[in-house]
Amino acid sequence: MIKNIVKIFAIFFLVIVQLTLVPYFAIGNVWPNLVFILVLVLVIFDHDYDAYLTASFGGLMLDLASPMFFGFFTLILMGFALMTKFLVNKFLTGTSPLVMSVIIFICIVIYDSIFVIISHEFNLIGFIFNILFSIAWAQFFLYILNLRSKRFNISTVRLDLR
Amino acid sequence: MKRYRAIIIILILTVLLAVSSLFGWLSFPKNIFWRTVSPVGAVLKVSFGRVPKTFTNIFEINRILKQNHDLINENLNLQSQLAQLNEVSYENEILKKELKFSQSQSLNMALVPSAIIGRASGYLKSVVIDKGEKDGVVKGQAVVSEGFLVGIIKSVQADSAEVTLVTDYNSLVPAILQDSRGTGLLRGGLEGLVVEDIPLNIGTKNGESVVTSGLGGQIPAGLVIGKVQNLISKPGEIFQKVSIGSPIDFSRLEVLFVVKK
Repeated sequence: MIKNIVKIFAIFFLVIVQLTLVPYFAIGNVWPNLVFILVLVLVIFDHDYDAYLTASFGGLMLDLASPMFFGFFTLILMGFALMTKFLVNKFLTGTSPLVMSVIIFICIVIYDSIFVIISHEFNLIGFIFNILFSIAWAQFFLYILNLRSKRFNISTVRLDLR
Repeated sequence: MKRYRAIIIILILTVLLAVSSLFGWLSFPKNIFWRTVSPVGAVLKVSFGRVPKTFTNIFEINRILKQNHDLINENLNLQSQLAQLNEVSYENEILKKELKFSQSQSLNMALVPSAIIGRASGYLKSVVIDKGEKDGVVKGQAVVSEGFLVGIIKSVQADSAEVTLVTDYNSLVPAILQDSRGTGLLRGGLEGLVVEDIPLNIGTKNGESVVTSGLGGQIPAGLVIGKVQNLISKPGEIFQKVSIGSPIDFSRLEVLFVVKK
Protein backbone atom coordinates (compact mmCIF):
# COMPACT_ATOMS: atom_id res chain seq x y z
CA MET A 1 0.00 0.00 0.00
CA ILE A 2 2.73 2.47 1.03
CA LYS A 3 4.79 1.36 -1.96
CA ASN A 4 1.84 2.13 -4.24
CA ILE A 5 1.38 5.59 -2.74
CA VAL A 6 5.08 6.36 -3.17
CA LYS A 7 4.92 5.17 -6.79
CA ILE A 8 1.82 7.28 -7.46
CA PHE A 9 3.54 10.36 -6.03
CA ALA A 10 6.60 9.66 -8.18
CA ILE A 11 4.40 9.38 -11.30
CA PHE A 12 2.57 12.57 -10.34
CA PHE A 13 5.90 14.39 -9.99
CA LEU A 14 6.97 13.08 -13.40
CA VAL A 15 3.70 14.38 -14.91
CA ILE A 16 4.33 17.82 -13.35
CA VAL A 17 7.85 17.86 -14.84
CA GLN A 18 6.39 16.75 -18.17
CA LEU A 19 3.78 19.52 -18.22
CA THR A 20 5.76 22.42 -16.79
CA LEU A 21 9.49 21.90 -17.36
CA VAL A 22 10.00 19.65 -20.41
CA PRO A 23 8.34 22.16 -22.83
CA TYR A 24 11.28 24.53 -22.17
CA PHE A 25 13.62 21.94 -23.69
CA ALA A 26 11.56 21.66 -26.89
CA ILE A 27 13.29 21.51 -30.25
CA GLY A 28 11.17 22.24 -33.30
CA ASN A 29 8.24 22.74 -30.94
CA VAL A 30 8.23 19.04 -30.06
CA TRP A 31 9.29 17.48 -26.79
CA PRO A 32 9.40 13.88 -25.55
CA ASN A 33 6.69 12.38 -23.36
CA LEU A 34 8.58 11.10 -20.33
CA VAL A 35 5.59 9.18 -18.99
CA PHE A 36 5.29 7.31 -22.28
CA ILE A 37 9.01 6.50 -22.35
CA LEU A 38 8.96 5.30 -18.73
CA VAL A 39 6.00 3.02 -19.52
CA LEU A 40 7.90 1.47 -22.45
CA VAL A 41 11.09 1.00 -20.42
CA LEU A 42 9.18 -0.60 -17.55
CA VAL A 43 7.39 -2.98 -19.92
CA ILE A 44 10.62 -3.95 -21.63
CA PHE A 45 12.29 -4.37 -18.25
CA ASP A 46 9.52 -6.79 -17.17
CA HIS A 47 8.11 -4.50 -14.48
CA ASP A 48 4.57 -5.09 -15.72
CA TYR A 49 2.71 -3.84 -12.68
CA ASP A 50 4.70 -0.59 -12.50
CA ALA A 51 4.29 -0.09 -16.25
CA TYR A 52 0.49 -0.45 -16.13
CA LEU A 53 0.30 1.72 -13.00
CA THR A 54 2.34 4.44 -14.76
CA ALA A 55 0.25 4.10 -17.92
CA SER A 56 -3.08 4.32 -16.09
CA PHE A 57 -2.27 6.99 -13.49
CA GLY A 58 0.09 8.98 -15.76
CA GLY A 59 -2.50 8.79 -18.53
CA LEU A 60 -5.23 9.99 -16.17
CA MET A 61 -3.11 12.98 -15.10
CA LEU A 62 -2.14 13.83 -18.70
CA ASP A 63 -5.81 13.61 -19.66
CA LEU A 64 -6.65 16.19 -17.02
CA ALA A 65 -4.15 18.53 -18.67
CA SER A 66 -4.97 17.68 -22.26
CA PRO A 67 -7.28 19.47 -24.69
CA MET A 68 -8.12 16.10 -26.29
CA PHE A 69 -11.14 14.01 -25.30
CA PHE A 70 -10.80 12.58 -21.80
CA GLY A 71 -9.19 9.14 -21.77
CA PHE A 72 -7.06 9.74 -24.87
CA PHE A 73 -3.69 9.55 -23.11
CA THR A 74 -4.79 6.67 -20.86
CA LEU A 75 -5.86 4.73 -23.95
CA ILE A 76 -2.64 5.50 -25.81
CA LEU A 77 -0.36 4.65 -22.87
CA MET A 78 -2.23 1.47 -21.90
CA GLY A 79 -2.45 0.46 -25.55
CA PHE A 80 1.29 0.89 -26.10
CA ALA A 81 2.08 -0.88 -22.80
CA LEU A 82 -0.01 -3.91 -23.77
CA MET A 83 1.22 -3.92 -27.37
CA THR A 84 4.88 -3.68 -26.35
CA LYS A 85 4.38 -6.39 -23.72
CA PHE A 86 2.84 -8.67 -26.34
CA LEU A 87 5.68 -8.04 -28.81
CA VAL A 88 8.41 -8.47 -26.20
CA ASN A 89 6.84 -11.72 -24.95
CA LYS A 90 6.42 -13.01 -28.48
CA PHE A 91 9.83 -12.19 -29.89
CA LEU A 92 12.25 -11.59 -27.00
CA THR A 93 12.98 -13.19 -23.67
CA GLY A 94 15.12 -10.30 -22.50
CA THR A 95 16.57 -7.12 -23.86
CA SER A 96 19.70 -5.02 -24.10
CA PRO A 97 20.06 -1.23 -24.35
CA LEU A 98 20.37 -1.60 -28.15
CA VAL A 99 17.25 -3.72 -28.57
CA MET A 100 15.42 -1.44 -26.18
CA SER A 101 16.44 1.58 -28.28
CA VAL A 102 15.04 -0.11 -31.40
CA ILE A 103 11.74 -0.88 -29.66
CA ILE A 104 11.56 2.68 -28.25
CA PHE A 105 12.37 4.04 -31.73
CA ILE A 106 9.50 2.09 -33.32
CA CYS A 107 7.05 3.06 -30.56
CA ILE A 108 8.02 6.76 -30.68
CA VAL A 109 7.61 6.83 -34.46
CA ILE A 110 4.11 5.32 -34.13
CA TYR A 111 3.24 7.59 -31.17
CA ASP A 112 4.45 10.74 -32.98
CA SER A 113 2.66 9.69 -36.16
CA ILE A 114 -0.62 9.53 -34.22
CA PHE A 115 -0.06 13.11 -33.07
CA VAL A 116 0.96 14.26 -36.56
CA ILE A 117 -2.34 12.88 -37.89
CA ILE A 118 -4.33 14.51 -35.07
CA SER A 119 -2.59 17.89 -35.21
CA HIS A 120 -2.07 18.07 -39.00
CA GLU A 121 1.45 19.30 -38.28
CA PHE A 122 4.83 17.80 -39.07
CA ASN A 123 8.23 19.15 -38.15
CA LEU A 124 11.06 16.90 -39.34
CA ILE A 125 13.72 18.40 -37.05
CA GLY A 126 11.40 18.16 -34.04
CA PHE A 127 10.46 14.61 -35.05
CA ILE A 128 14.10 13.46 -35.26
CA PHE A 129 15.18 15.22 -32.06
CA ASN A 130 12.16 13.83 -30.24
CA ILE A 131 13.22 10.30 -31.18
CA LEU A 132 16.83 10.93 -30.15
CA PHE A 133 15.83 12.56 -26.85
CA SER A 134 13.34 9.79 -26.15
CA ILE A 135 16.02 7.14 -26.64
CA ALA A 136 18.38 9.13 -24.38
CA TRP A 137 15.70 9.38 -21.70
CA ALA A 138 15.00 5.66 -22.08
CA GLN A 139 18.69 4.93 -21.45
CA PHE A 140 18.54 7.14 -18.37
CA PHE A 141 15.48 5.30 -17.02
CA LEU A 142 17.18 1.99 -17.84
CA TYR A 143 20.26 3.08 -15.92
CA ILE A 144 18.14 3.97 -12.87
CA LEU A 145 16.28 0.65 -13.10
CA ASN A 146 19.59 -1.20 -13.41
CA LEU A 147 20.89 0.48 -10.27
CA ARG A 148 17.70 -0.50 -8.47
CA SER A 149 17.95 -4.08 -9.73
CA LYS A 150 21.49 -4.39 -8.39
CA ARG A 151 20.48 -2.97 -5.04
CA PHE A 152 17.61 -5.44 -4.67
CA ASN A 153 19.55 -8.28 -6.29
CA ILE A 154 17.09 -8.81 -9.14
CA SER A 155 18.50 -10.94 -11.93
CA THR A 156 19.62 -8.87 -14.91
CA VAL A 157 17.96 -9.16 -18.30
CA ARG A 158 19.79 -10.38 -21.35
CA LEU A 159 19.36 -10.31 -25.11
CA ASP A 160 17.92 -13.54 -26.45
CA LEU A 161 16.22 -13.30 -29.82
CA ARG A 162 14.02 -16.29 -30.51
CA MET B 1 -6.27 -9.81 -10.03
CA LYS B 2 -5.83 -8.57 -6.45
CA ARG B 3 -2.37 -7.31 -7.38
CA TYR B 4 -3.80 -5.10 -10.10
CA ARG B 5 -6.54 -3.67 -7.86
CA ALA B 6 -5.02 -0.15 -7.80
CA ILE B 7 -4.76 -0.07 -11.59
CA ILE B 8 -8.36 -1.26 -12.02
CA ILE B 9 -9.54 1.48 -9.61
CA ILE B 10 -7.63 4.12 -11.62
CA LEU B 11 -9.07 2.83 -14.90
CA ILE B 12 -12.62 2.87 -13.47
CA LEU B 13 -11.96 6.44 -12.29
CA THR B 14 -10.78 7.35 -15.80
CA VAL B 15 -13.95 5.90 -17.34
CA LEU B 16 -16.11 7.81 -14.83
CA LEU B 17 -14.26 11.05 -15.59
CA ALA B 18 -14.54 10.38 -19.33
CA VAL B 19 -18.30 9.95 -18.95
CA SER B 20 -18.54 13.09 -16.78
CA SER B 21 -16.57 15.01 -19.45
CA LEU B 22 -19.45 14.31 -21.86
CA PHE B 23 -21.71 16.31 -19.52
CA GLY B 24 -19.12 19.06 -19.03
CA TRP B 25 -18.43 18.16 -15.38
CA LEU B 26 -14.65 18.07 -15.73
CA SER B 27 -14.10 21.69 -14.78
CA PHE B 28 -13.81 20.94 -11.03
CA PRO B 29 -11.22 18.09 -11.21
CA LYS B 30 -9.23 20.03 -13.84
CA ASN B 31 -9.22 23.09 -11.60
CA ILE B 32 -7.99 21.06 -8.61
CA PHE B 33 -5.32 19.46 -10.80
CA TRP B 34 -3.94 22.78 -12.07
CA ARG B 35 -4.10 24.34 -8.59
CA THR B 36 -1.90 21.49 -7.38
CA VAL B 37 0.43 21.53 -10.36
CA SER B 38 0.98 25.26 -10.83
CA PRO B 39 2.95 26.02 -7.59
CA VAL B 40 5.27 23.03 -8.09
CA GLY B 41 5.59 23.91 -11.75
CA ALA B 42 6.48 27.49 -10.88
CA VAL B 43 9.26 26.31 -8.55
CA LEU B 44 10.62 23.94 -11.23
CA LYS B 45 10.38 26.68 -13.84
CA VAL B 46 12.32 29.16 -11.68
CA SER B 47 14.93 26.52 -10.76
CA PHE B 48 15.56 24.88 -14.13
CA GLY B 49 13.60 26.87 -16.72
CA ARG B 50 16.47 29.25 -17.44
CA VAL B 51 18.93 26.51 -18.35
CA PRO B 52 17.68 25.89 -21.91
CA LYS B 53 17.22 29.64 -22.46
CA THR B 54 20.88 30.29 -21.60
CA PHE B 55 22.06 27.66 -24.09
CA THR B 56 19.67 28.88 -26.77
CA ASN B 57 20.85 32.48 -26.30
CA ILE B 58 24.50 31.47 -26.78
CA PHE B 59 23.73 29.66 -30.02
CA GLU B 60 21.44 32.37 -31.29
CA ILE B 61 23.60 35.42 -30.59
CA ASN B 62 24.07 36.23 -34.29
CA ARG B 63 20.36 35.98 -34.95
CA ILE B 64 19.61 38.12 -31.88
CA LEU B 65 22.05 40.83 -33.05
CA LYS B 66 20.43 40.91 -36.49
CA GLN B 67 16.99 40.87 -34.94
CA ASN B 68 18.00 43.74 -32.66
CA HIS B 69 19.17 45.77 -35.64
CA ASP B 70 15.93 45.06 -37.50
CA LEU B 71 13.86 45.92 -34.45
CA ILE B 72 15.60 49.28 -34.05
CA ASN B 73 14.77 50.09 -37.67
CA GLU B 74 11.23 48.88 -37.26
CA ASN B 75 10.90 50.87 -34.04
CA LEU B 76 11.91 54.07 -35.83
CA ASN B 77 9.38 53.34 -38.56
CA LEU B 78 6.69 52.59 -36.02
CA GLN B 79 7.43 55.78 -34.11
CA SER B 80 6.86 57.83 -37.23
CA GLN B 81 3.72 55.85 -37.99
CA LEU B 82 2.53 56.33 -34.40
CA ALA B 83 2.91 60.07 -34.71
CA GLN B 84 0.80 59.96 -37.86
CA LEU B 85 -1.76 57.69 -36.20
CA ASN B 86 -2.02 59.99 -33.18
CA GLU B 87 -2.85 62.77 -35.57
CA VAL B 88 -5.44 60.60 -37.32
CA SER B 89 -6.88 59.48 -33.98
CA TYR B 90 -7.22 63.09 -32.84
CA GLU B 91 -8.92 63.96 -36.09
CA ASN B 92 -11.15 60.89 -35.72
CA GLU B 93 -12.20 61.87 -32.19
CA ILE B 94 -13.18 65.32 -33.38
CA LEU B 95 -15.20 63.83 -36.24
CA LYS B 96 -16.91 61.38 -33.87
CA LYS B 97 -17.88 64.19 -31.55
CA GLU B 98 -19.23 66.06 -34.51
CA LEU B 99 -21.30 63.05 -35.53
CA LYS B 100 -22.16 62.19 -31.88
CA PHE B 101 -20.74 58.69 -32.20
CA SER B 102 -19.93 56.65 -29.14
CA GLN B 103 -16.40 55.46 -28.60
CA SER B 104 -15.40 52.53 -30.73
CA GLN B 105 -15.68 49.03 -29.23
CA SER B 106 -11.96 48.49 -29.36
CA LEU B 107 -11.42 51.22 -26.79
CA ASN B 108 -13.60 49.34 -24.31
CA MET B 109 -11.34 46.31 -24.26
CA ALA B 110 -9.76 45.19 -21.01
CA LEU B 111 -6.72 42.95 -20.81
CA VAL B 112 -6.19 40.25 -18.21
CA PRO B 113 -2.48 39.38 -17.87
CA SER B 114 -1.83 35.68 -17.39
CA ALA B 115 1.08 33.26 -17.23
CA ILE B 116 1.31 29.91 -18.95
CA ILE B 117 1.28 27.13 -16.36
CA GLY B 118 1.29 24.06 -18.60
CA ARG B 119 1.31 22.54 -22.06
CA ALA B 120 -0.04 19.07 -22.78
CA SER B 121 2.02 18.29 -25.88
CA GLY B 122 4.03 20.04 -28.56
CA TYR B 123 1.73 18.66 -31.22
CA LEU B 124 -1.47 19.82 -29.55
CA LYS B 125 -1.30 23.59 -29.92
CA SER B 126 -2.82 24.34 -26.58
CA VAL B 127 -1.62 25.95 -23.35
CA VAL B 128 -3.09 26.36 -19.88
CA ILE B 129 -3.05 29.83 -18.28
CA ASP B 130 -3.36 30.79 -14.61
CA LYS B 131 -6.50 32.92 -14.98
CA GLY B 132 -10.02 31.54 -14.97
CA GLU B 133 -13.65 32.29 -14.19
CA LYS B 134 -12.69 34.20 -11.05
CA ASP B 135 -10.83 36.73 -13.19
CA GLY B 136 -13.68 37.14 -15.63
CA VAL B 137 -12.27 34.87 -18.33
CA VAL B 138 -14.98 33.27 -20.46
CA LYS B 139 -14.96 30.73 -23.28
CA GLY B 140 -14.27 32.18 -26.72
CA GLN B 141 -12.28 35.23 -25.62
CA ALA B 142 -9.22 36.23 -27.61
CA VAL B 143 -5.72 35.85 -26.18
CA VAL B 144 -2.92 38.14 -27.34
CA SER B 145 0.82 38.36 -26.89
CA GLU B 146 2.87 41.42 -27.80
CA GLY B 147 -0.29 42.84 -29.36
CA PHE B 148 -0.81 39.91 -31.74
CA LEU B 149 -3.63 37.37 -31.55
CA VAL B 150 -2.21 34.04 -30.39
CA GLY B 151 -5.23 32.00 -29.35
CA ILE B 152 -8.79 31.59 -28.19
CA ILE B 153 -10.05 30.44 -24.79
CA LYS B 154 -11.31 26.89 -25.27
CA SER B 155 -12.50 26.01 -21.77
CA VAL B 156 -12.51 27.77 -18.43
CA GLN B 157 -12.09 26.49 -14.89
CA ALA B 158 -12.29 28.55 -11.69
CA ASP B 159 -8.56 29.39 -11.56
CA SER B 160 -7.27 28.33 -14.94
CA ALA B 161 -8.24 28.25 -18.60
CA GLU B 162 -7.27 26.29 -21.67
CA VAL B 163 -6.15 28.28 -24.71
CA THR B 164 -6.21 26.83 -28.22
CA LEU B 165 -3.46 28.57 -30.17
CA VAL B 166 -4.25 29.95 -33.62
CA THR B 167 -1.59 27.59 -35.00
CA ASP B 168 -3.84 24.63 -34.12
CA TYR B 169 -5.54 22.97 -37.08
CA ASN B 170 -8.90 23.04 -35.30
CA SER B 171 -8.72 26.75 -34.48
CA LEU B 172 -10.95 28.90 -36.72
CA VAL B 173 -10.97 32.68 -36.35
CA PRO B 174 -12.86 35.07 -38.66
CA ALA B 175 -10.25 37.41 -40.14
CA ILE B 176 -10.08 40.29 -42.57
CA LEU B 177 -7.26 41.45 -44.84
CA GLN B 178 -6.84 45.10 -43.93
CA ASP B 179 -6.07 46.64 -47.33
CA SER B 180 -7.99 44.46 -49.77
CA ARG B 181 -10.90 44.04 -47.27
CA GLY B 182 -11.16 40.33 -48.06
CA THR B 183 -12.74 38.25 -45.31
CA GLY B 184 -11.79 34.67 -44.52
CA LEU B 185 -11.10 32.16 -41.80
CA LEU B 186 -7.75 31.93 -40.03
CA ARG B 187 -6.56 28.37 -39.46
CA GLY B 188 -3.34 26.66 -38.34
CA GLY B 189 -1.97 23.28 -39.34
CA LEU B 190 0.57 21.74 -41.65
CA GLU B 191 0.82 24.80 -43.93
CA GLY B 192 1.36 27.17 -41.00
CA LEU B 193 -1.04 30.06 -40.42
CA VAL B 194 -3.40 30.48 -43.37
CA VAL B 195 -6.48 32.54 -44.12
CA GLU B 196 -8.84 30.52 -46.28
CA ASP B 197 -12.26 31.04 -47.86
CA ILE B 198 -11.34 34.46 -49.27
CA PRO B 199 -13.67 35.30 -52.19
CA LEU B 200 -12.07 35.13 -55.64
CA ASN B 201 -12.90 38.73 -56.49
CA ILE B 202 -10.55 40.02 -53.77
CA GLY B 203 -7.09 41.04 -54.91
CA THR B 204 -4.85 40.10 -52.01
CA LYS B 205 -1.52 41.87 -51.52
CA ASN B 206 1.63 40.42 -50.01
CA GLY B 207 2.58 42.26 -46.84
CA GLU B 208 -0.88 43.57 -46.00
CA SER B 209 -1.96 43.21 -42.38
CA VAL B 210 -4.48 40.64 -41.27
CA VAL B 211 -6.77 41.46 -38.35
CA THR B 212 -9.73 39.84 -36.65
CA SER B 213 -13.04 40.72 -38.25
CA GLY B 214 -15.00 40.62 -35.00
CA LEU B 215 -17.76 38.52 -36.54
CA GLY B 216 -19.48 36.44 -33.88
CA GLY B 217 -18.17 35.25 -30.54
CA GLN B 218 -16.13 37.17 -28.03
CA ILE B 219 -13.28 38.24 -30.30
CA PRO B 220 -13.17 41.99 -30.86
CA ALA B 221 -12.51 43.38 -34.30
CA GLY B 222 -9.11 44.79 -35.21
CA LEU B 223 -6.75 42.49 -33.29
CA VAL B 224 -3.61 42.10 -35.36
CA ILE B 225 -2.79 38.54 -36.45
CA GLY B 226 0.11 39.01 -38.85
CA LYS B 227 0.90 39.86 -42.45
CA VAL B 228 0.05 38.15 -45.72
CA GLN B 229 3.09 36.27 -47.03
CA ASN B 230 1.82 34.81 -50.28
CA LEU B 231 -1.12 33.34 -52.12
CA ILE B 232 -1.10 29.57 -51.75
CA SER B 233 -4.39 28.57 -53.36
CA LYS B 234 -4.25 26.81 -56.72
CA PRO B 235 -5.94 27.98 -59.92
CA GLY B 236 -9.40 26.47 -60.21
CA GLU B 237 -10.18 26.60 -56.49
CA ILE B 238 -13.41 28.37 -55.62
CA PHE B 239 -11.83 30.38 -52.78
CA GLN B 240 -8.43 31.96 -52.26
CA LYS B 241 -6.03 30.94 -49.53
CA VAL B 242 -3.09 33.03 -48.27
CA SER B 243 -0.31 32.15 -45.84
CA ILE B 244 0.19 34.47 -42.90
CA GLY B 245 3.43 35.36 -41.14
CA SER B 246 3.27 36.20 -37.45
CA PRO B 247 6.23 37.71 -35.59
CA ILE B 248 5.26 35.66 -32.54
CA ASP B 249 7.32 32.57 -31.69
CA PHE B 250 4.52 30.28 -30.55
CA SER B 251 6.93 27.84 -28.93
CA ARG B 252 8.29 30.50 -26.57
CA LEU B 253 5.11 32.11 -25.28
CA GLU B 254 5.28 33.05 -21.61
CA VAL B 255 2.92 35.88 -20.70
CA LEU B 256 -0.42 36.19 -22.44
CA PHE B 257 -3.24 38.72 -22.22
CA VAL B 258 -6.87 37.68 -22.34
CA VAL B 259 -8.94 40.30 -24.16
CA LYS B 260 -12.25 41.05 -22.47
CA LYS B 261 -14.60 42.59 -24.99
